[in-house]
This record gives sequence, C-alpha cells and structure tokens, in this order.
Amino acid sequence: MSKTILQYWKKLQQRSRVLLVSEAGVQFLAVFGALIFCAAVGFSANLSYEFVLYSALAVCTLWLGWHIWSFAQRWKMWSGTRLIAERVESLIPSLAGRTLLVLDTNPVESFVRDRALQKSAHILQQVPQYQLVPTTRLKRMVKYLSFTMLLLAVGEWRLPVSPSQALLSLTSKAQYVLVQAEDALVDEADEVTIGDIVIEYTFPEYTGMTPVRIPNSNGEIHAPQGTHVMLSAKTLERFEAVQLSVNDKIRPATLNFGREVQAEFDLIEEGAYRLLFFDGQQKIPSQTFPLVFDDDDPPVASLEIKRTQIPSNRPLSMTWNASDDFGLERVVLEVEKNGAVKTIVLRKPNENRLKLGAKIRRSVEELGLKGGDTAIIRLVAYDNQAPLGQDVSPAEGEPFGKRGASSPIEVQILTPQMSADQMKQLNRQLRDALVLVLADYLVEDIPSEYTVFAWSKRAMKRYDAIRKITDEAWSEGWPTYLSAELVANIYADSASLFRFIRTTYSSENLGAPTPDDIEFFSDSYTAHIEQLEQAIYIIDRMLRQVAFGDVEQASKKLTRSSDRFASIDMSDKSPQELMNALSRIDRDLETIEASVEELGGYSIKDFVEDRHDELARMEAVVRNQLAAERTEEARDSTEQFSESVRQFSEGVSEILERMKAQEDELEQEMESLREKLEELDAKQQAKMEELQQVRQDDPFAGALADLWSKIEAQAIVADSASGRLVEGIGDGRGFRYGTIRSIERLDSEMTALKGAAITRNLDTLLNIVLSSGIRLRRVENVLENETFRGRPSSDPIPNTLQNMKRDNQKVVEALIELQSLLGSDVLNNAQSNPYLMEAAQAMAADQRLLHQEMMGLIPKVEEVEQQMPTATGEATEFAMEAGRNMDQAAYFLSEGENMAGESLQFQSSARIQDTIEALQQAAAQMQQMQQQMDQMAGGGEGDGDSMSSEVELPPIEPRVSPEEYRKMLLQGMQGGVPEEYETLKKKYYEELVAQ
Amino acid sequence: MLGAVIAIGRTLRECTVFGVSVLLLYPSVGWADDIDDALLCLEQANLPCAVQIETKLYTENPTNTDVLQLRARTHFHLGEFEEVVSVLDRLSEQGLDVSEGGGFPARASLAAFSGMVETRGEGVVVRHDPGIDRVLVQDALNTMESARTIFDAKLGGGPEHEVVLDIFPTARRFMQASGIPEQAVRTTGVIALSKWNRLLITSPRATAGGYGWMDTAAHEYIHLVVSWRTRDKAPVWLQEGLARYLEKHWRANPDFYLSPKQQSLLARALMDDAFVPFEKFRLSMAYLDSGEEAALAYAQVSTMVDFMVQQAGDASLIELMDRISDGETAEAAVSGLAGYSSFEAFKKDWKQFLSTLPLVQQELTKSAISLDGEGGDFADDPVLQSRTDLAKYVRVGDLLMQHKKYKAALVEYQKAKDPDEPLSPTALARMAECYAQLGDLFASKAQLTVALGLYPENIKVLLTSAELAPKVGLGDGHDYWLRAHEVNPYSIQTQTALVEHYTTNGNEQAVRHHESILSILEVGGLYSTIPNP
Repeated sequence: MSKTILQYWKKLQQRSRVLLVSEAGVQFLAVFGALIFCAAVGFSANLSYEFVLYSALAVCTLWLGWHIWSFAQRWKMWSGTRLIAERVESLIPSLAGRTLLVLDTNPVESFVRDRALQKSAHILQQVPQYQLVPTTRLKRMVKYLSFTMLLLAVGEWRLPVSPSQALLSLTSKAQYVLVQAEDALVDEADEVTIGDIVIEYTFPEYTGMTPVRIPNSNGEIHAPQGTHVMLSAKTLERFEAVQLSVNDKIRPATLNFGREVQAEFDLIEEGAYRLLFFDGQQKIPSQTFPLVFDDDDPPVASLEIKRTQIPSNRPLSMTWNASDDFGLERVVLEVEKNGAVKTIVLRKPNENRLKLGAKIRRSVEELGLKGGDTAIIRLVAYDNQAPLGQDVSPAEGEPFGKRGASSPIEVQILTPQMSADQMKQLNRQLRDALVLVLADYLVEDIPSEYTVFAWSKRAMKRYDAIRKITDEAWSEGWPTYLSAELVANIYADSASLFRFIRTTYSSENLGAPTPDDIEFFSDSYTAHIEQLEQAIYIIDRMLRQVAFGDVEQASKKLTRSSDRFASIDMSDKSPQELMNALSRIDRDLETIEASVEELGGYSIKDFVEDRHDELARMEAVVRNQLAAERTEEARDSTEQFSESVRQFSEGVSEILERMKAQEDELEQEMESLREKLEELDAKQQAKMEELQQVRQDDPFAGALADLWSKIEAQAIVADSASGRLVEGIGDGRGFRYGTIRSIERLDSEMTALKGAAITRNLDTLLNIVLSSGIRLRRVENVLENETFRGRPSSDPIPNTLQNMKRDNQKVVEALIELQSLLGSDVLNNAQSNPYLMEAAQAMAADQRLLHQEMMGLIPKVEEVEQQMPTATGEATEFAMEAGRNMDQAAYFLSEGENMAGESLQFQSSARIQDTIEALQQAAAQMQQMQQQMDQMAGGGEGDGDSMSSEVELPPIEPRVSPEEYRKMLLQGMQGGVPEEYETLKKKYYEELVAQ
Repeated sequence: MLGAVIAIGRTLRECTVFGVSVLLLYPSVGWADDIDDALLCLEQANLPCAVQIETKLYTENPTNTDVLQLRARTHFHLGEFEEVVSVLDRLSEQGLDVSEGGGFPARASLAAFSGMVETRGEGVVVRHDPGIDRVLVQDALNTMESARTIFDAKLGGGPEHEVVLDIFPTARRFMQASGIPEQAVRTTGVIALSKWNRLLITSPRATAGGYGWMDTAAHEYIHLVVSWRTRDKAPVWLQEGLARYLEKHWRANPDFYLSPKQQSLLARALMDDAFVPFEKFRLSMAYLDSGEEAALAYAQVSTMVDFMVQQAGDASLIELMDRISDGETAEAAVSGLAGYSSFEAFKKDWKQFLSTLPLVQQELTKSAISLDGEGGDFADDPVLQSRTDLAKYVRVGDLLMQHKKYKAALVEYQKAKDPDEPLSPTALARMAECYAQLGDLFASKAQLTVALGLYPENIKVLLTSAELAPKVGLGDGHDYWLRAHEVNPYSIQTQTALVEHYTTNGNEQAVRHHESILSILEVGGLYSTIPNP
C-alpha cells in the first residue's frame, strides 16, 4: 500500500511543478507584455527615453525578484515527501496522520498499520489529483496574459509608438531615436558629408557573378537590377540615428558609435539614395547618390555564312557567336521564309555562360528549306533577364530574356539546275580570269636574269583576280572537280616558279645564279603558259559542250511547244490567246539564243545560230499573221515552223550523238593503243631480262653482280643521306635560300645516281660521281656557314644542323666508295667480255624489230593525242623518246655493248610506260570533264566533296553477337558529341533503332 | 579539118540513135529485146529513147512483170517516185518483190523527196525543198542553163531530155535518195552524184560553212553529158578528169580548176616524182589507197585533160567524145588527140607541162566536207577539223580576242600551226582581224591574201575578207561577198551587202535577185501554200 501512496504523491508533485512552471511562464509573458505596453504608452506620451527605460527596468527587476522568491516558496512546498504528505493530509482531513505511516523509517508490522495504510490508499484513490492541485491560478494568469495581449494589440493599432517599436526602442536607443526621428523634419539646407564609403554588391543569381566589394566608393551604385547592396560609411560628427532614403522611401540603417553607418537594400529601381542623420532634433541628409542599373544589354549575336548559295543536297555551314554581359539563356537560329519563321535551338546552356559560339552545319531539311527557297537567316540570342517593363510572362519553355539578333543573311537554296547554272557561271569567271593571266604572259618578253626578280613581284599580282574568285567560291574547301584541279595546279606551278626565282635571284641568295638557272626558269615559264592554255581550253570546252547540251534540251522543248501550238484549233481561239500561246515558243527560242553565245564562234555555233535565227524569223511571221488575223495563213506557217523546229531538234540531237560516237571511237582507239604499247613493253622487258639472264650465265657474272650490288648499295646510302639532308631543312626556317637550293640539288643528283645504279647505266653513274665533288663541297660550305654566321634572335640556329652535317659526311663517304668501285677491273672486263658481246650482238636484230614496232605506234599515239582535248603532247614525246632509246639500244647491242644496251632497253621500257601513263592520264581527265559537264548540265549537284548526309553504320565486329553489338553502340552513343554532329548522332540513333 | 571530123561524128551518132529507135519500134522485135534496148538507153543516158520503148511496151502489156520492171526503172530515172512505188506495189501483188537494193532505191527516194517541189527552167528542172532552200533555185537554174549551153557546145552535145537537178536539204535525204550507205558518204564526203540520168546534190545548208555547190552541179552535169556522148564508155578517170577540168567553165571567167590542195599534192608529186601510177586507177578509182592518193589522181587526170586541150584545142574534147563513143580507148584517144603516138609519151610531156602550172607549193590538208552539222566546232576548217591540239590554240586565241587582247591572241594563233602545213583558215582569218584591230593593216592584208590563196572557198576567210577588204586595201569586198554567196547564200549579211553593192552599181537584175533571196531569208524560208483569193 505504501507504494500506491508514494506513487500518488509523486504524481501530485509532478502536476504541481508543471503547473508552477506554466503559471510562471504565463505570468512572465503577461507582466512583460504589460511592461511593453506601459513603455509604449510612456514613449507615446513623449516621456524621456531614460525614464521609460529605467522605470521598465525597475518594474521588471522588482517583479522578477518577487516572483522568483514566490516561485521558490511554492516549489519548495512540493519538494519533500513529508511536506507533500502533510499538505495532502491537510487537504484531506480523513487522512490525518495515516499517510505519514508510510514515512516511517522502521515501521512495525501490524494489522492496524496495514489497515490504516490501506484505508489511506483507498481514500487517495477516491480523490483526483486536480482537486488537490487545481489549475485555477494558471487559468487566472492566462486571463491576465490575454488581457495584456489585447492591450498590446490595441496599442499596436492605436498608440503613436507601438509596443513593438517600444520593445525595439528599449533594446536600442537608436531605434528609439529613429522612431523619434520619423516625424522629424529634414533640414534640406544642411548636409552631412559621409566618407570612407564601402559598397558591396551581391548580384542576382541569374548573372552568375560573384559578389564584389568596392572600397573607397564614390557612393554611386551601378549594378544590375535585383542586386543586393550593402553600404557602410562614416561621418565626421556623431549622430543619434540614421535612416536610408532610397528614392524617398525610408529604410532602416544602423549607426554604430554615432558615426559608423551600415545599411543594405535591394536595387529594385533606378533613382537616388541618401542617408538621413538624426541629431535629436531634425534629420540632416547626406549627399545624394545615384542608383543606376548596370545595363543588362541585350545579347550580341553574330552569324557568318560564307557561302550563301548552296545546293539543296549540301549542308549550310555557319559560324556563330553570341555573348551577353550577364549570361545567355539560349541561342537560336531563326529561318524566315515567306514571313514564316522557324526557330532552331542551337544552345541552351545549363550553366550560366557569357559567351557561346560554334561552327556548325545544318542540312537544308533541318532548316526547313528546299531547293529554290530563299530565306533570311539570323542568329538570335536571349539573355537571362526579361526586358524592363515586360508584363506578360512568356509561355513555359519560351525565352523570356532580352533578345539580341545578328544581321540577317539571305540564303538561297539552289535547285540542281540553279547549282548547275552557278557552276557554269563560276567556270566562266575562272576561264575569263585565266585568260587575262595568260594574256599578260604572252605579250611580255621572257624576263632575263637581271629582270626576273623584279618581274616575279609584278607577275605574282596577276593571280589576284582569280584568287579572289576561288577564295569566294571555295572558301570552305576546294571541290574535287576538274576545273578546281586545273586551277590548283596552276597555283602550285606558279608558286613553284616564283619560289624558284626568290631562292635563286633574290639578294639574300648565296652565290651567283648559273646559266642553267635562267634556262630552267625559261623552261618553267613556257611550261606554265602551256598549263594556262590547257586549263583555259578544257574549262572553255566543257562550257561549250554543256551549252550545246542546253541547246539540245531547249530544242526538244521547242519542238514540244511548237507541236502543241500547231495542234491548236486556231478558229476556236482569239488572236490574243494565240499570241499568248506563242509566248512559250518565244521563251524556248530565247533559251536557245542565250546558249548560242557560249558555243564559241565555230561551226556548231553557226549551225545552231543560223537555224535559230530562221526559226525566230518564222515565228515573227506567224506572230504578224496572227496579229493581222490571217488565221489560215498563220496555220499554214505554223505547220512549216513546227516541221523546221523538228528538223532543227533532230539535227542538234544528231550532232550530239555523233560527238558521243566520236568520243567512244577515240576511247576504243586509245584502249587498243594502250594494249599494243603494253604488249610492246612486255616484249622489251623480256629482251632486257634475257640479257640479264645471259649476264648471270656468264662465268664472270658473279664478280660483276657483286660489284653492281655494292655500287647500288652505296648509291642507296648516298641517296638516303641526301634525302635526310632535305628533311633536315624542315619548313626552311633558319636556313638561307642558297643553302636550301644547294641541298635540294644535291638530293636530286643523288636520286639520279641511284636510278643510274639500279638501271646499270654506267655512263651516267660515272658522270654524276665525277661531277658531284663540287656539289658536295658547296653543301659542306653552306652548312658551315649556317653554323657560324651571325643570327638575330628571331633566326635561331636550327637544331637539325649537326645531324645534317653528319648526313653530308655520309654522302661524301658513299661517293668516295663508289668512285673506288667504278674503277674496278671487273667493270672494264665486263665491257669487253666476248661472251656477253656475242649475246648482245645476237639480240640486236630483235631489238631492231621492236624499234620498228614502236615507230609504227608513234603516229597513232600522236593521232590519239591530237584528238584528245586533255592531252598535252607528253605521250607523243615519251613515245618518241622510247623510239630513240630502242634505236640506240639496237645500235649498242649490235656493237656488243651489253650494259649500255640493257640500260637503254630499261629506259625504253620506262618511256613506254610513261607513254601509257600519259595517255591514261589524259583519258582520266576526259572522264573528269564528262563528270563536271554532267554537273554543269544539272545532272549532279554541288561541288562534290560534300559531307554525306547518309549515316554509315560500321560492320558488326567478329565474335560479337548482333544484340551485344547493338548494345555497345547504344552505350557508345550516350557520350557527348560536338554540336555540329548532333544531327548525325540523332540520325545514327534513329537508324540503329530502326534496325 | 577538125570541124569536119566533128560534123561527121555527130551525123553518125544521130544516125545510130535513129537506127536504134527504129529498131526498137519495130513490132516484130520481142519484148525481151525491147526491154534490153530500153535498159541500154538508160545506161547510155538516152532517157527519151528508154521512155519511148517503155511507153509502147506498157501500153501493149500493162501487166507484164518485165514491162512493169522496166517502167519502174524508167520512171525512177525520170524521178517520178510515186509512180515507181505504185508499179513496185503492183509487182509485189503479182508475187514479184523487187528489192530496194536492186539498183534503184525507190521507196527511200520517195521518202527523201517528201515535200519537195520543182521549178522549171530552160531544159532544166530543179527539185528542191520549198523552205529556205528556195534561195538556191534561181542560181541553180542559171547554173544549169549555162552548163547546158556551154558544156553541150564544148563536148559536142548533151542529153535531149530535161535535166533534173535534185537539191536535197539534208545529207541524210541525199543518202536516202542516192542509195549510198551513210558510212560511205561520211567517210568519202560524197555530196553530189550524177546517176540515173539525174543530178543529185546536197544543199550547201547541210554542210559546214557551205561549199561551191554551183560548180559541183556543173561537175555532175559534165558526167551526164560525157556518159551521154560516149554512150557511157568513158572510163572513170577520164570522166573525173573532164569534169574537174571543165567544172568552172560554165562561168564567164572560170578560175583555175585545181583546188589549192590538189595543187599542193601535184607540186609535191612533181618534186618527188611520186605520182599515182596510172595503172592503179585506170580501171577504177576505187582501188586507190587513201583519200589523199585519190585527190592526187584526180589532179593528175584533170591536168592530163588540160594538157590535151592545150595541145589540141577546145574542139578536141568533141573529138574525144566521139572517139571514145566509137570504141577507142581513152588513153589512145587522149594521147592521139594531143599529138602523141603513145600514152607513155603523152605522160612524159604532161609532166613537163605540170611544171609550167602555177601550183601552190605548200602542203595542205584536204578539207573533208562535214555534213548536217557534224565535224565538231571546226567542221569547216580542214586543218583544225581533226587536230584538237591545234584547235586549242585557236580557241584560246579567240578568248583572248574577246577580251581585246589582240597581241596575245596573235601569239596563240601562231601556235596553231603544224610545222608541215600552213595555218588553218580560221587562224588566218582571226589573225587578219587581230592585225586590223591593232591597226597593222598591211599585216592584215597579207594574212587575208594568204588565206584567200589557200582556202578560196572557206566561208570564214571569205566573210572576213569581205568585211576587212575596204579597210586593208583588198578592194570594196564585193568579190568576196559574191564568193561567200556562192558558197553559202543563207547569210542575210551577205545578201544585204550584195544588194547594197548592186544598187550602187545600178545592176537592177542582180539587185532583184539578191533581194528575192533576202526576202526568203527574212521570213526564215516560210512559204505560203494558200492560194491567193
């Protein structure tokens, strides 16, 4: 039972303590509220700050002291078990003395005691705890608190100094002063100077800018809208309070030590701010500082499209750049066609980016265009912030920021026919520009060694016009068609010519130019003119043939138009209708007339022009007859006209067919000639091998073969070392022109030396070895000079120089060795070896037959070349040289000189192969001509070399199942790609998924 | 004396013809003989005789297949193709198919003649396209009428029937009507023919730059006359020799009969003593190895005729016809008339005679006539036609000229020269233009003179000469305009120039002639088939 009683007491104690704490809290709040209210009343009654403050502090202290004492008393009352028991017994008289039994320290077990305790427990169970510890007092306190709150609310509403302000004032006098200052007048006549101004900007998030602190500021605020500004400053005098006035709106500020001001605000609108200092009587303003939005200018966008006319099957290449002072939200491409605008998002960065740019390609389809369209394209960039005063929120996902657009660029998508026309126009320009270049060459005297350097400077400018054309047309890379190839060759050739002049005749050159140099120049000069002539002729020929093709097409159209016109029942139609129907014929005739000019001034042009003129005159007669309403006559004339048109069209088609047939015939002739040449070459090689075999069978052959192997090895060593010397020059920096030239000549001589050794051409070999001494000495000198000459800092000594010296030494050593080998008796004996002499003489007759066979083929080679527009006469020259070599081979063989004979046989074979190659090259160029003509005729599009829009899937790797492979591909595709490949990636993905 | 011989010869010939005619009309002679006679008449260019027999036989036996075949053949010679085809159809109905290759391409000829019309003159019928080719008609009539008069007189008579000259507007139609395979025409360049007692020529409009079609028509007429006069016994070499020698004689002032090319060939042959052996072409020209050899052979035979006439006078030609008609060999007749006992002796002195001729010494390329727009850009240029390598320089030169770079253009034209040949007519004409543009009129004239000497029928050379002549001192250009007209009369510029010239000179007839041509050209050759109300 004791336990029950004790538990009861415990609970009672807990309840009483909770109530005590609650009462104390509520009482505190009520008293505090009352106090604040009283302070507010006091401040409102303009009582002095100190009086109110101290009164409040005194009341607060007194109340707190009393309350703590009281709280402690009551807490104590419920702290001990005995006290609790006595208090319970006092409250429940029936328990008097009984419950104390529990507290016996040494209780005596007795029935009575137990019964008393039992009875007590029973009584206690009957008495609820709240009867013993009621909440009456707490409730009363809550009532007080409620009343106080009501007072505060009323005070907040009605009092001049609200309780909240009073509370703040109580915590800080400045606040009190502020409140006091609210109604104070501003003394505009006076001004407080503030200094040591520090401004700290915290920019809005969209700008992505880090905070900036500006010490010693002049007070002016320049920041983007939304920037949080923290301001600190100092005054000379002390003040009681300070306020910030932003655009005449008062904002709080902190004043420490009477002269240190701190304030902060968000820059929402432009205007001005100042500080208002309260000296207890009035407010004195500081200087006024401007508030200026740092302009968030619209983004700057630029778009560059070098080629604004593109074939419909080629992508449009663009270079774009966009920048903004605070960040770009997105960059889009706007394609405007017939008033409708298509927007293509190029970039929408996740992170704030001030600058974006890329080189991209977009297919015509992606731009929403097609062949024949003309569109305006502009790059538009949006920044992160809406324009000022924008009220309407944009739709979800739409740009909201300011817009900056590039200059619009008009782009034309070319249909195949337009591409073809453009290509024709370009080729005309190229041809005409080349003609002018050629004209300059033809009318001048070939420069002499004294004038050539000055000439080269002038001559270089001849190419400016054509360079301008090619730069504009092929800025994105040169196409692969024939005209481009021809022009590229001309550039390369002219560059080589001018380079030669610079390296040979400039004042920086080491050593005087030789007569060979001017001869070489003269040959190159002539060859360049021939190259120009060839290029002009080929381009022009293509243009003329395409023009004739155009005439054929137009003549067919004209046939249809005239047939249609002839079939019209003229009695049903008014004269005007008939005249209108004639206009189509007019157009077709005009098309023919336009093409006629391109045909040149020759037979085909005469044919077309005469027929065209006749038809045009007939048409004029028909027109006149219709105008005069002589319908019968017009019908009669129309029939004749129609018949003439048909004949004209047939004539044109026939000419074209015949031209094609002639080309086919030429091709067949060329093929047959090639076969014959190859056959002859095989025979010549067989003869050469036969001679070689004879030499192997010779008892002295071993020694000779060994000797030649050694000679060949040394020649190869010399050639490789000279090749490395050339490599050492690199791009030429650090070397003088004379050095480069000397080394290049040595290399070319060593290449010839190797050739002579391989072909066993003893005479050439000896010549080169004997003459190379001077050359080697010269190279040695120039390399020494390069080592020791004075150099400016911009011209450091090349680090390859030492290696080059070593390589030169290797060449010298190889040539010394060669000289020794060539003096061997074995070679001398081989020349007069009776066995070999006999074999050579036996072969002479066969060699003569081969020579005759070659001589029979030369006229055919010449004839074929004469008919090929792309031939240069090279094949004939090679063929003639082969003929001469074969003749000489036969002569030497008949004299028993086997080595010379074999060497000439080798050279004969090489020249025959050169002949075949030259013919094949001309034939290949003819094919290129045909391809380009197809393009110019509208059969193909663009410049070729275009990026394929087709997606090519790589083949499945071995030992990988299709599923695995697919998975691998898809995984691989998750990686990022440059922007310009996004489209391809997408297409690739679609292809993959479709499979 | 020679006149008397000629008179006797003529009388004998007339008696022979009369006798044959009487015999042919004699009713007891069988059909077969009659038909053979008629065919013989056709072979011997005696068309009236053949017509007479055929008419008689047909009247008597209109369904006999042999007679019908004769009728078809005779009417084919007459050029009445509709009738020929109708007869062939009837034969076909009777089960006899006469193949087209049987000697007369009737159906092809009918197709080739589709739409063609005829214009009659004095003993001459010109059949032609009614369109633009009407510009040829008056000149064709004049040429043929002159030819009939002159050559009949020179050769001692001519065919008694109306001579039909067929002018085909295209080479293709000429081929159809002539029966010569296309390949043969294109490789040999045959553009005219005297066959089936008719003259067939290709319109100059169908060839690149035109050609001397009037001389060609006269040439073909000479073949007809010679066939008629010699009863088709003259060998080909003599036929060609006579025709070439005489072909320009229908004109009031004939030029030298040899072309520059032939002259150059002869000159070289003379220098190298490398003539074509007579034996090689005595029987047929077809056995010659190349076109060049054939050209030399023609030059040889025409100069032989010239040599004979020089030796024996113009009347010797009549005698020659008679002798050959009487069965004497051509060699014997020619050498005999020239006063030589043997042909070998004749040839020896003939070579001597050649050395007296003013021959062009330079080697020239023979101009292959290009038909129906074939031959590419330089179809009318004998040098550049098959020399793309040289044509390249001319074309580049032309482009330079277009840019007024005349000096540079001259360099290019000079390059367009084969070391073994003179410059091409195109290059020469262009050089003359360049020099004129540069103010070097002397050089311009020199180029034109060379060009005219080497290429007198080249239309580019003629037109350039005509235009530059007054400027460079080559006369008023009229001669060149006229020659250009003879080669290619389809140019309005040429006709206008001629009208102006003749108006100035007061030659009203010529003015009317060229104005009528001009009026045809100005309407593109349109003609009205609607009768006037």
